[in-house]
Amino acid sequence: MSGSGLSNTRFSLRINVGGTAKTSGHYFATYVLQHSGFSKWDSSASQGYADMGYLHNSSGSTSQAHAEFTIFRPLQADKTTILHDATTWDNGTGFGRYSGATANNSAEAISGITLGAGGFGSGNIEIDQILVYGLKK
Amino acid sequence: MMTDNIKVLITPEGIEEVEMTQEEIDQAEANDLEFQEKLEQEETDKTAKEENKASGRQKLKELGLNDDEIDALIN
Repeated sequence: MSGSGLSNTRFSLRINVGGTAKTSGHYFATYVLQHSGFSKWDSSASQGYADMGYLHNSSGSTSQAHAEFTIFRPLQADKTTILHDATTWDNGTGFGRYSGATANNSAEAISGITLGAGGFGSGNIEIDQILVYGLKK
Repeated sequence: MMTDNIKVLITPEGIEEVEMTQEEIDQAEANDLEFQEKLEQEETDKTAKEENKASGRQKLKELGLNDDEIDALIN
């Protein structure tokens, strides 16, 4: 991720319903594991997006981040839950793993997710590769 | 790849790059300001926590605990 400042390197998530990203009505919690220890990163039941931690902050950097999401039962009319996990050289210097979960607080099908930088500010997401898997019982 | 003022839609039908509307650009700029306030509050909270930690450690030392004993208590 890149942007004009450190705030632009925070990875943000919203849940889409009917093709529109929700800005309320979801919960999230993220923790961070670093060599210095384990701690809470961020959590909220009212913030307009889920905060998934820092990813690297310079275009073309060799300190690339990797993130993955597992979305459970997205098409069912239930409170969809999402696991999110990322490994990153956050800010290009400190290694960490940001893990957490986000849940829709409405029992409804979701149509997708929206990813953004810095609380959906003006930063950029530069993606080398996106892989989408689907599993069905 | 996503660049300024472009959003990327990834659907089963394919990948599409769409220009952001002026309204979306304005909202992103407003979000920047809001997020900056959040970061400043986080920094304030972090500083207060570090100061409380140092103060608490000093008080424990004054009670006779050494650094290893304090580390065992708080870590």
